[in-house]
Amino acid sequence: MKGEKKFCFCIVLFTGILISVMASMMRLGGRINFKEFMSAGKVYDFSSAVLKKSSAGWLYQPEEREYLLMANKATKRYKLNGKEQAWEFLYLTVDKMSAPSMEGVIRYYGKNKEKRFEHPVQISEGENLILLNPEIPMTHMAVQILNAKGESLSISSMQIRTTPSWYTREHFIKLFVAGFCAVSMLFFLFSMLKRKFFRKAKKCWDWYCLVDILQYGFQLFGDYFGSWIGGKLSNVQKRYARKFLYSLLFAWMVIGNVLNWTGQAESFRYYLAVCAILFLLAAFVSWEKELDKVCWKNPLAQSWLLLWLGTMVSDFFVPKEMGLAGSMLFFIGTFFMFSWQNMEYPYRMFRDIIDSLEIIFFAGIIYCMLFRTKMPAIDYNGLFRNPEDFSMYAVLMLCMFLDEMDNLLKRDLPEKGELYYYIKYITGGAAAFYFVLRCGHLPGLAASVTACAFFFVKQFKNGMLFDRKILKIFGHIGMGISAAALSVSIIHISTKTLPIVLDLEVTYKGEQLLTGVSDEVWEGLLELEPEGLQGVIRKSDMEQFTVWRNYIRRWNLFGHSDGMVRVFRNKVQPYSGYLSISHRYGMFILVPYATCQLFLIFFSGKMAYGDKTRAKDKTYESLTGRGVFLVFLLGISYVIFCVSGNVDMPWGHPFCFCFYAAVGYMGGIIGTEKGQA
Amino acid sequence: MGRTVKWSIKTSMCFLFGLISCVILTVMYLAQSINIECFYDVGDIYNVRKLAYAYAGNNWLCDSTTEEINITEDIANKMFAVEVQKKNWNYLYLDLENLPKETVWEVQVLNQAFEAAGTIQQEMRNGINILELPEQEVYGINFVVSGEKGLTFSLKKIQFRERIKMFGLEEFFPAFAVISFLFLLGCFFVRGIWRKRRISRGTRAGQWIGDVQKFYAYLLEKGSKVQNLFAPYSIPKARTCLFFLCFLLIYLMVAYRWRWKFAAQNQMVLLIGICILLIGFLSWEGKKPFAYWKKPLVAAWFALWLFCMVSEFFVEKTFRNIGIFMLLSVTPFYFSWNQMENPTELIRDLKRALGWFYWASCIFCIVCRPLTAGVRYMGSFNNPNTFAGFLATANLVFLDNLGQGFQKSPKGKKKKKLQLINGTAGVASIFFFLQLTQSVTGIGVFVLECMIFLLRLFLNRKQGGHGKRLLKLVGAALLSSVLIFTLGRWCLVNVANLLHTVVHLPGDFYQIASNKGFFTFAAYAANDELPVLNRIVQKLSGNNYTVLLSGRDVVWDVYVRQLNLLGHEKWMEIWEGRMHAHNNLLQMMYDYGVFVALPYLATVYYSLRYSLENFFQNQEFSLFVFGAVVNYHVAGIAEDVSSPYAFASWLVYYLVIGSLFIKQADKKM
Repeated sequence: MKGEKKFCFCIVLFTGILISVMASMMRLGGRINFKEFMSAGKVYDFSSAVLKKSSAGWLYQPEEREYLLMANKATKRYKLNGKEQAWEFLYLTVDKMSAPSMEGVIRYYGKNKEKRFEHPVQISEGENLILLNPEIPMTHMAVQILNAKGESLSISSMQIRTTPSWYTREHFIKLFVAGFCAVSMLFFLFSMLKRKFFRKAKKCWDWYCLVDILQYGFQLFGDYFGSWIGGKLSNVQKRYARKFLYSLLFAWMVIGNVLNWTGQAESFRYYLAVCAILFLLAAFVSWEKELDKVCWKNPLAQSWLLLWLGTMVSDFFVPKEMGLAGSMLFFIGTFFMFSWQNMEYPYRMFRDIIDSLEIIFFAGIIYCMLFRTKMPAIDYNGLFRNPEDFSMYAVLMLCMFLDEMDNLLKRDLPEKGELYYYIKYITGGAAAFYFVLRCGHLPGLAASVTACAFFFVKQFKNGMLFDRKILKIFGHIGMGISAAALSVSIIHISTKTLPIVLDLEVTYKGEQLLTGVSDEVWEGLLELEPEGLQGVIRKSDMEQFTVWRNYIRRWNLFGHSDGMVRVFRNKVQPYSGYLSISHRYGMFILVPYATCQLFLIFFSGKMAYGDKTRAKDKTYESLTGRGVFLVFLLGISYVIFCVSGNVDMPWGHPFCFCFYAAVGYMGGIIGTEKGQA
Repeated sequence: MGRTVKWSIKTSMCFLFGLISCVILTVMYLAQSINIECFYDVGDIYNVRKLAYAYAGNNWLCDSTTEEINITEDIANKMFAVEVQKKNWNYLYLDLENLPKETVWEVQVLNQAFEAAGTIQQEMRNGINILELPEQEVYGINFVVSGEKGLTFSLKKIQFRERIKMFGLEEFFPAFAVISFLFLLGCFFVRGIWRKRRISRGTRAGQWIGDVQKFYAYLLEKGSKVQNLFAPYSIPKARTCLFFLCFLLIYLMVAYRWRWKFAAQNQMVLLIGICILLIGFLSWEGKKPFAYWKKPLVAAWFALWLFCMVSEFFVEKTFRNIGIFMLLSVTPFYFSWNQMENPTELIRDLKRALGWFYWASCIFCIVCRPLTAGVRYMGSFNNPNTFAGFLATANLVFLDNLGQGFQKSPKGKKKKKLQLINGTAGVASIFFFLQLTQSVTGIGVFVLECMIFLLRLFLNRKQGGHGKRLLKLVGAALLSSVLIFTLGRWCLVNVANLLHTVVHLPGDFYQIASNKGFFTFAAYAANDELPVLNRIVQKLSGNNYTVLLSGRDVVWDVYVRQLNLLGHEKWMEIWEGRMHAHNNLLQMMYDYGVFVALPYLATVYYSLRYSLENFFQNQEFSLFVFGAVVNYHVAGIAEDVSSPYAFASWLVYYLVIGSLFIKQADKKM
């Protein structure tokens, strides 16, 4: 009951915040519009690269970060969003200007670069709002400054729009606070009224009966196929079967990612069908006895259900190219969780997932060493098509190995073969961390460091660091570190040279090549090897904040058909899991999404750092709470990636899959505890 | 006996499966392409419609009786436009007949402005002439015949192709024979192995239906709490209202074209599903947890919708969620229905709702949808054929009511009279509207339904008072007809205009009466007293079946060519726009994949068979059920009534078929 109250409070709080944001955006947009709260219309932001590009009359000086005007009629042309469009407002922010103001002309050009219109403007320091002619469509625009030869100006931002922008930070905050107060009052009133009528309402309707019906359906479905498949296997056979299926699933995810099946609507369904079949088979194989209902009256399970229900509601109203992901997770994912929670020892499934990850990881290392070259100055993509995906995978493996090390240090494994495990886990963890470094992905680095920090905090809390026993296993750790150093060195050298030497280098179609080098290094590399840098994207050109602004501007109630927004003329990913999911499924999906993450971290952290290991019997597998530390690390890492990475790919990446599997696992543990309580 | 019958159906299905598979394999082999998205992978094909052949060109005239082209001057030409969106064609196939000699024609390839962008000089002969088109977009073709005054010939086919034709029937049959033989060998081999496994391991056949019923029972048990909101006597009324709502929603989806809009379609389907599920909840008596569903119809039913769900998973559909709708809403409704002590109550409520909906439509037609002379009447819909389909379905209510009067005596004289007047007025008004729609299919189905009714009268001829009732029926029918054809016609023409309450529906499809092609003929059509008869005569007097079928054969050709494994999303583009297949089976196969034919045909067979058996056993409302089944399948021969969420006949068919899941005798088991 206490947990439910916390959950309700969180839901109400987040919902209230989002309603206030929605109301504020609608107020700024000037109308009630559920298809786009802000009603911003068409907006085109000029990229900073464009704002630093020189022309005949405008010479950009990088040291001063300003333009020097070289002629009395200094013209700079800009290409707009690629479509012939009439605009109304041009926002030009000038940071500094050598003259108090400058006279100029704005020229409009059509598709064939023919001049269509021009009008005079006056530009001064600060934000300039220039009214454009809404009757004249244009594809290019030119700004000509008159009689200002030798003067300088610095443009920090430029934006062209069809509607005016009323947004300022102060204005938004005022609206938000007012909105939040109003919403809070409404909620308070509602709760007062609800208390009065609550008892009557409960007699008529209990929302949990829908969950009940769902579970009953799962029981019948699971018993029918489970008894046929899993019922005929011994425990050992089940474990091997699960490992095989999960290995296949993770390999399939990697292949799907590499071949971009998850990015194309035509192939996505077939890809998803295979994932679903493997997933279901794993559930059927794990069948041990007739399935029982499980208690899902806990915040995590409820967040899970709400999250995928929310995606289904969005798919109901808005057609999507790849609109099955949510529904599949709701039915198949929930069924999988249900089966998992019915196992006598759920940790066995968890263990098999971990073992499969290990198999794929070590196979992946060999693949990288033989086929994937690390190119100088370019972030390493490894198994995947971009460094971000590989970084997520490496972080997943790092978390896994940290958890294994934690278990090892707790001496829960038998004595025999202990050295092997130390070497394996330390080497694996080192390799994973090495890959994170090679990817050069900042959120990945942050997640790795955070995970390591939490690991050490845990050992410190458990007294491991100062335990006498640590001296006994110091030798094992030392051996592990030595092996890790050697392995990482081999991997480092191999990935730099082996694929080229053996002529086995593999590159993927549409692979993203990123570099984070400084401007000077970049200029130098361009001079040395211009062909080698073809298609390489500079991280500094990505302008994350502009991308985020564009996504937030498009927030609405039920989401969008297109998965990506056009920024700087191209469709770009949002680099934020929150923005990605809210763009696709509507802003309010953030409520269950955030509560899912929050409660996962809260409960797993509480268990991992508490002493919540209750054993049904003395066996290793039966300890409730086994694996929660990995769940905790996954939760933390996932949140870090959500803040600044494209992590929202539930069926498309092992990291996301494991996160959602962790939610199910944790939900089961909490449910079991509630049952035992 | 039962075992033999079951085996023959199995054999038929296996045979059909084998036949389809062999045809697919043969076509793939001959086309040298394994393409599950289009088995007949020979590139795009576009046939210029035959109607265009009859239009005159410049000194190029078509004789409407012989269908021969006459060249009347030395220079003659005729332009044929490419009406489909695709313009990149590589080959032109021209099939000529009765050409007295080989002649050189100039074939001009037309661009977007319909100017000659390329010219081909080709010697034309009898038979198929193949022209290779230049690599450019083809918006039309202009045939120029010079120095051949008096030339006559027949134009059989003008076909644009993406690729050259690789094979014909001569190559198909031998390859088919070989592949069939190999396929049979393979089947025997597999069968041998399957038999051994079945003996050694046993089967779990039939267990699944028990589990499904458990789930439905659980769901209905939970949902039956809504019965607390109603008094027992008002539950039938509630059911009637819910049925009425279903018909209304289906109507709105068609009339306002909501079924073409993503969100609107989803919302309407959800609402209809909830209505049907609520009817199931209201009808749940919960006395028995199982129904005897171990029947081929039930198995075919489940197989059909599971197949549709799988197809929809892989291929986006225009009309979505049909499988989920059927299995999660309609089937629980059937289960609840089959549990009822008096299942006929439900059909009575359904009939009542349909009857109310019909009379409401009549009022709407009189008040808001006036009859326009020379134009086929659309009634409350935006297409005369759709309206005709609705009328033919509603007709069943009145015929069944009239038939009920002959089966047993309803309570009270007043009720008898009311039933008689209601029934005869209904049938007469339906016939009145039908002849205004000029729908040959609709009238055909109407006639068939009347024949079923007459058969019912014939079967009940030995009942007491039969002759007297028959006389009353004839009298009432005559009186109703006179009133409706006179007063009704006047009302339909004038009331809406007098009250200024004319309503135009989105997408109103104005079709000129009597199959005339031009508006100038509307005046002539307006004077036609019985334009539908002219239409029928025109069809029957045509020289070929293209006229008889109004071009459906061309549509069927196009659809058959596109059949594949998992179905398609959108209708095929034929001539000026997208068009349905004009055949239920073909539409289902096109939408959900070729193998959906197996469970679909099984459903057709069993629905017809069981409803016919019930009809001959003179069961209550069996005329309605049998009529609904016949209506759906007969209309579906030349129209597409299988597209979901569109037609009253579709809804009624899929509602009443549940009564065939269980027989009265089986209930005692």
